Amino acid sequence: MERILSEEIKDIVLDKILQFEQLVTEFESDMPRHGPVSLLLTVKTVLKVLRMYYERKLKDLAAIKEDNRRKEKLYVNSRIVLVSIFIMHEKLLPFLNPGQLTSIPIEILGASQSLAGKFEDMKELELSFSPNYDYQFSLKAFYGVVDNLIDSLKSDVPESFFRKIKKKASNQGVCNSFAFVGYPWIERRSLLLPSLMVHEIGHLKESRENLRREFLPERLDQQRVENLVKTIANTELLSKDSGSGSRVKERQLTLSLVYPEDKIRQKVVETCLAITENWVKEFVVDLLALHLLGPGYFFSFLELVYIVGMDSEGSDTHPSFTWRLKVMMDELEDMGYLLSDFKDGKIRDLLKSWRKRLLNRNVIPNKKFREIAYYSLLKSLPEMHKGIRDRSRTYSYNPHRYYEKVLPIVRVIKRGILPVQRWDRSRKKFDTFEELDIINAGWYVYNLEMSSFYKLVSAKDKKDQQNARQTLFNLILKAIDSAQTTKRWARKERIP
Amino acid sequence: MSVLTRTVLINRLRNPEDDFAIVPLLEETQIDYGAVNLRLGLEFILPRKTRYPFFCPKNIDEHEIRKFQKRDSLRFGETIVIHPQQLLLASTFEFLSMPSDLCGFVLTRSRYARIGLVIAAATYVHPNWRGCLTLELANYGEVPIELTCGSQIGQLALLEAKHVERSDEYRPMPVGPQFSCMCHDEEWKKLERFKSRIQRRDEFRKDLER
Repeated sequence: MERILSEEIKDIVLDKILQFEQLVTEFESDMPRHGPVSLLLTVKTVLKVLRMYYERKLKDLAAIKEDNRRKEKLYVNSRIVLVSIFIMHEKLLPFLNPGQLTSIPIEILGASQSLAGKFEDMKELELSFSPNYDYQFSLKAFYGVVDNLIDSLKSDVPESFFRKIKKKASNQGVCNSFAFVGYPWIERRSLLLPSLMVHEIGHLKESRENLRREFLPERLDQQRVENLVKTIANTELLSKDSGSGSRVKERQLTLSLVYPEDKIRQKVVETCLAITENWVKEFVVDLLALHLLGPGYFFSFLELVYIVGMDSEGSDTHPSFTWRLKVMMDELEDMGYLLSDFKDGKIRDLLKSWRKRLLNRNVIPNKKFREIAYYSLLKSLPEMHKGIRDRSRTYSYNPHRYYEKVLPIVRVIKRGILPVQRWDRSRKKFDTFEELDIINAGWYVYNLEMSSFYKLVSAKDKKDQQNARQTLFNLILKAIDSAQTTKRWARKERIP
Repeated sequence: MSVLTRTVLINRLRNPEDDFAIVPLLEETQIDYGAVNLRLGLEFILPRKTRYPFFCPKNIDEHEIRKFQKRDSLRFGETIVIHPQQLLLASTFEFLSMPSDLCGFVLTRSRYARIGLVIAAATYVHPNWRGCLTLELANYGEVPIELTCGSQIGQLALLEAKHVERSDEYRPMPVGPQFSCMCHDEEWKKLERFKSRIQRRDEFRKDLER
């Protein structure tokens, strides 16, 4: 019986491995155009290890003649391989579909790695992209995919073995270096893409370092929680009209009769904590991205708000755009962008006008759960600002850098030249611009110098102006890519 | 009209106030005696297998042309093969900014020309033009040729011109190869009128003969 079982498994596993290998080979021919080569290498390595592991186990199984316990253990191990293969197939298939990945802008592939490298300890990160047809930016970490994969093995393997592989997987650095970024297809050639990608990379940093735990408020707003619990507990289950003439005429039928108040309180606290945690995560990532990219991130966020609309309610996963903008504005103020000693008056005035516009905007959500999350979080925000400022000190985009680096690039763009390099008289060599400075310069021109850019390209009517905006975005994307290639060329690095 | 020498080219490219720019210059050795070597860019327009019988320039706009051609892109250092009698559109890796007092000609580097490759059919670069040049790559040889993105494939010879005024039309500043946009040519309508006049005359003649 055991022999038959193992033979069956052998056939299925080998069949699946072959099928998977074929898929990878097909993908390999298109791979250079579609994503990081190392993703393919990982998939291939995992397959190779699984194949070797499985073949060795089969050999061992054949060698054992009498020890049934060992046989059983090996049988379980081979089942793990089988299940892993099935799950890998299911989980990775969407990412190995070349058709889905064809519209990745070539400039973004290089930029992603470079932008990730700007954060500390994120140099080895590689991103793969898949366009969404709805308007959504998202991030899926590869280790998340692997983690889910291992979790789904839980019912199939003994507890001790499960814990062992879980620990092993968490120690594997290889999984940490991949992530899949989803972006709206419509923004594939927009300046929004590299700017908001910084936010998605920030998510990976936040999740790796578990920053949300550090900045979660110590406790929820107790008074509001109690009020909400009471309101829910006293919710009438039947309306007054339907209750007339029934047996519960004198005693009102409320939720507290069905659910004890403690249970309601527990549910309320759980929900509010989940919302608060999600919101903390978003704020932390926003602040990290703001420190990395400077005002460029704020402007890209404003552009996003123009597209999707300003709201004060938010959702359970994201705080409202208005509140996020306000928090970012506070941080920009702390960074010194609104101070009178920041030399660039134009950008300072623009930020000040936005601060004024945001000042009277309501940010308190209407829904009670979100309201509790809002008030609970309000108290811990200053600590969060301080904590992120301390953490990002080494790479924070300060006003001095903005003035020194961004404005020369703006001048180059205004003359209609691709902002990649300029002759440095003192060093007697061509100096290549930094990607972050180029993105900031792009947003500067987009917000403040568009009229001169229209003049430069002779854009008279609305259609021409629309094309001119696209031209600006194309210039910036090309500049980011070219700057990166130039730097790699100068370092004599292997160019992937 | 004289060709710009290496020294003049270097001095002008280093001058931050000059509107003349060729960026990025990965190596200064790209500036040759009397010309600047240009690299093959990363974007391509490739021919598509199509069920449409022929290409009629006057009826095909920038959307319709995608029935015959498609965009694709590679990474720096990757290769693409051009087959005999094939036409590919590519662009230069460098972005050119031509001032009002310079014009240029794009030429195939002799080492590529000798194996049958021609990189540009429309070779003249106007004063005041800005963008990455579209290259019309054609293999006139008998064997396929492998081309590498980023390789120095062409040359731009620059000549002095009298200060040319800027055109008032929209200037797109392309960063990759451009599809043909012949349908925008105003003269098609005039030519159509000529054609219909000839047809009417022929019909009239036939009627008379009857």
